[in-house]
Amino acid sequence: MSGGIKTKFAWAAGVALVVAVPAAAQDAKKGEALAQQQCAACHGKDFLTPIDATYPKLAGQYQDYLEKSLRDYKTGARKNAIMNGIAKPLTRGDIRDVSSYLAALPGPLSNEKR
Amino acid sequence: MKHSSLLLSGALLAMTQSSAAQDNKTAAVAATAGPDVPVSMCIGCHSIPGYQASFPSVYRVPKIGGQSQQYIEAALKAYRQGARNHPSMTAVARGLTDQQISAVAAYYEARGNSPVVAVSK
Repeated sequence: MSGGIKTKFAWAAGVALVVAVPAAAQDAKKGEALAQQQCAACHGKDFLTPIDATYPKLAGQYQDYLEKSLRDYKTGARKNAIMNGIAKPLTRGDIRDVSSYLAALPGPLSNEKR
Repeated sequence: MKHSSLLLSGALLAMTQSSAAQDNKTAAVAATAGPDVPVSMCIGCHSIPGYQASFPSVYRVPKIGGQSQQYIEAALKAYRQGARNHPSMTAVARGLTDQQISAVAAYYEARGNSPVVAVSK
């Protein structure tokens, strides 16, 4: 109606923003929610204080290693009664989101030569 | 009430101190690499930030500095008995005694970021 090219362009740009920004934000939110629901009970709310010392600290671990571990637990290539059950229903996207969230958290984990 | 909680904390303190004394040897061993702490097999992958394993699949080898001693021990024993599979880790773990596993695990627990800092993924 009154919309010239300018208005249409602004409208399209607005749509692109609305679609692009929340997608990443939603992934991060999803990762955080998954981690709090699925991991925190055993690995600690900060993912550094597990309820059993033989459970690993997760915060700050490499994302690709976390993903590989979860994939291996999901397929059964790595065996652990609890972790196999936790990983089974996770999708590839879930595994990526939760691993990305955990990897970005602060923690003592390091591969620096000391 | 006050008295008994004081007694209890005294007892707890005594327990903490005696277990600290027992841990002294482990702590001392954790300080330096050597024949008792054979980390020469570890550092080629685990002391290089961002180092990628390329076999059997490509991903960064996990950060183990600052990980708990008990978890590292459990992981090495799982590799040693075949409960967890990775060609190089299985080979490394099979060459270690229980004592060496404990020493290596303590060594790496003591090598985390301190104080805790934010890390990049």
